[in-house]
Amino acid sequence: MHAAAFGGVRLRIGSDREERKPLYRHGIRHTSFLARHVLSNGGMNRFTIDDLRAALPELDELRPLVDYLVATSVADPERTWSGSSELGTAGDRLVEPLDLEEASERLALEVFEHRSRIYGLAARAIAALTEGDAEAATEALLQAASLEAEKGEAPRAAAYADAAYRLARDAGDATLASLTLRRRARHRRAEGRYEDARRDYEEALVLAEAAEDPRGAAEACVGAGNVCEEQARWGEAEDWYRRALSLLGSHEPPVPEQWHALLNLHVVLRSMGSLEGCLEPLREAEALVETLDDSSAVPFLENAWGQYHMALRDFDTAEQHLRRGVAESADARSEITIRLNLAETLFARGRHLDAAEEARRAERRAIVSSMPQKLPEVYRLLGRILADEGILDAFVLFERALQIVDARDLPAIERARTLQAYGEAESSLGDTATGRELLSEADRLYERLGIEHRRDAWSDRYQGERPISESNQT
Amino acid sequence: MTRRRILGLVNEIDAPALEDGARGADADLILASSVDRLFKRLSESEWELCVVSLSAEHVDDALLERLAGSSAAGALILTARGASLNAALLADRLGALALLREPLEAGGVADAFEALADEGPSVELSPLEEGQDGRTALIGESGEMAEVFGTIAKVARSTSTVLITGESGTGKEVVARTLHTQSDRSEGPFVAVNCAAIPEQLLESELFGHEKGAFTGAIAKRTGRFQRADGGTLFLDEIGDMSAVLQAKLLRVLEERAVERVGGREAEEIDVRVVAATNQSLSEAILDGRFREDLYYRLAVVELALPPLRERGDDVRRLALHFAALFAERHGREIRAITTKALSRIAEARWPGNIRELRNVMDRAVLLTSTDTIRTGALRIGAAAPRAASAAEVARPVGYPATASLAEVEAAHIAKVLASVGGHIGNAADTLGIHRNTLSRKIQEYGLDTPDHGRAP
Repeated sequence: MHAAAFGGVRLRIGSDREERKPLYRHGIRHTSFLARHVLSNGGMNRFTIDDLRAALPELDELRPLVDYLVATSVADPERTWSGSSELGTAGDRLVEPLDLEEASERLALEVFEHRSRIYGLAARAIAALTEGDAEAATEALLQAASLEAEKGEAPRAAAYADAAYRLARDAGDATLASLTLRRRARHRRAEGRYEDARRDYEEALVLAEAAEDPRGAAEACVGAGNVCEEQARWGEAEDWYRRALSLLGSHEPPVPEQWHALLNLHVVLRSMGSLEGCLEPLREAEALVETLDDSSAVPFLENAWGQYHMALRDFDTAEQHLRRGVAESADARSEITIRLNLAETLFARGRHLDAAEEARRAERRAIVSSMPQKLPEVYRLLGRILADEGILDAFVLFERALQIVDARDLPAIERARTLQAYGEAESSLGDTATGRELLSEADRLYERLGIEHRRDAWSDRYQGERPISESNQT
Repeated sequence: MTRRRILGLVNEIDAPALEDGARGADADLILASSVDRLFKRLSESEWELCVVSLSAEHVDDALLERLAGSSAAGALILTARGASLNAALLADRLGALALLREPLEAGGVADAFEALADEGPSVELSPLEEGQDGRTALIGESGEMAEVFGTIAKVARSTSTVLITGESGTGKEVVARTLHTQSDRSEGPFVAVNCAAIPEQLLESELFGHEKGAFTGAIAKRTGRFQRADGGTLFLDEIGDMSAVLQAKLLRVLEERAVERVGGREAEEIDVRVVAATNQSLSEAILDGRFREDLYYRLAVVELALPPLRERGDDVRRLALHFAALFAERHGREIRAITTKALSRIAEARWPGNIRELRNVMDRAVLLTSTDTIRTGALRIGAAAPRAASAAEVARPVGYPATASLAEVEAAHIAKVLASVGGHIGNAADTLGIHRNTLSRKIQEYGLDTPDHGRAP
């Protein structure tokens, strides 16, 4: 069952109950703001996203409608300059039920169309199988996986990719089996199933090598490296990226997988503190991009240069690169990530106002792009900024981040990072006992994820936005 | 005197007018051939003014925001084809000095450059007093504030609860802190809580604390804000947003001077002075049944009303100078003065966000100033709202509330254009692209004042 998007306001039945303590500090769950805002106002005027969530049942079928209302919600103009606006989150926005009748019809049609396309692809797969064409069937199932992934349905996407893999495997087509495994791995990684994803990438590598498909093999290596990085296993990640580069050698003509691997190598070397060593792959990546005339690489390169200069504490240059990266971003995910890096740079310089503004822009982009999974990062950063100013109420933002992590079933690493930021903030604000508890909880989670020290996991302070490395085959 | 440096990115057809205008203003002009070249120039050196055409290739909102945020770009003048509400609003949001219509005319360009040059003498910043920062300094010499200071002096040393009222951003927390620091409790803690920002169930536990095991997951005993403020002052901001249930509990605490943790059995005595604040009309809330009358009387033993910034006369300038000095120090900038013209612009603005908005504008102005003097080009008045807009706000003209009707937007825009052309109806009609009779009719219909007769909304 899907859980609510922005402001889950109810108990959630699911696994890992131990991890589900959204209102950590208080040990209770959020209830609705309904009583406070709607009933107390005589049921008039202020109707927030949280009120909406409390009013509707938590059902998959309503999700597009709720997402639409979240995306069209507005910040409360009456609170624009009040102190509470600094602590406001997506859940506090006002619902604007303009053209709702027309919108709900359109959304229902979109749901219907999505299902129709999935059914059509399933039908195509069945028809292909009856004709003995496993390749066409596999392709149809991979397309269904992509469609589900586009909707943010990682488990469904993984299920279709899994079905595709079984067909390819049974058909004895190593190239196709490798491809399907890489897709399954990507969706499993999005679910936070790191070990499963890593095994998939390793198997995909073996199959691609057997099929003499160096690009597929390199893609598998980069994918495995990305998984290692998310677990803060920097050394292993480095090995994977170097292996990808060695597999591609001096591929002629050059292929994008080469700069993908180089940029990933740069990021991991920088994360390991090798500020000198990380420069060479970055420059090589830049040269390759120029040869390939690949403009899609610009935001990634700008982000990499920005982070590099941030690591050097050359904040002016970092800011220039990151602003260029934001301006050149072609998709919401890149823009949000690079904007948050920009906000980190500004925060590091003590420019709290600008940092908060960039974080709010990232929040807005996440909301209008239906990417609530990026919101915990935004709220962690805003919480840290406010905590740095000594505002005790900063905890509201961390609690909201935890809520979204739970409601959206985000990977455990997100929860651990939020607990860590929360714990550090509480300690800095004087509540060391709560701070210690939160940090211990974060440590337990990191340990379970195979991360030895919490410091290693704090990669979203310097996020390495990179391209998803994959060949153009589907 | 060094010649002024202007960087331009305009369409080829407008280049001669821009060159003539620059020549007329005795300025050096460099024309960039593309967005990339523009930013390359900006990365190489600093400019006093950037002139950018909204119709030039690859110019979009994101790029303009980047430009407006660049200290190397200096002031900004935008040019656009024809009259457009969106262009006017964009120019306003970015704090552009002017929005010129294309095709450009040398005379208009020269006037705009001249306006930039003529900023008048500068007013020097006063050094900060020791310990003054943005959150604690209570600044003002206006008659309205003299009254506030008088009340503070009278009540600071008493133990009475105080209710501070005033629009958002008028400095209610600063007044609460001043009451605390001037009281006999100044050695004790000052603890602030924003009642509007914290969800109801959290707020109860946050205010009163909870016992270990009080509810699922309450793994440790927690100290509430009341207990944390023991011996000091508790500031309850945005009290008007508190739920009825919590209002009742708060009333009990105020009456009994004791709090009971959630899940607790025994009340703990506390010695806390409560200062509350609201931007709402509590008397209306009482009439609507949203706020308890008995709690109101308990909180408003002394009521202190803060005036909005627009009613504080010369305090606006004082505060601007104070914030400029504060942020110059904080950001390590060698800023010594503000031009008279910039100060006049600050004094004339409406400041709907009051001191909080002014503070943000001055913070940004300091960052956008690359010389030792803050000029009008660095002022982003109206662009410093702390909350990001949502999709719906992005889709509609920025700067107006989501609930505004088309007529309200039109009225506000006409007023803005009138203000920008000094009330000249002919010029305003020209900018708006409508006949002057139509404009006169609309001015009458909306009851607008021209700048000669009063302030534009």
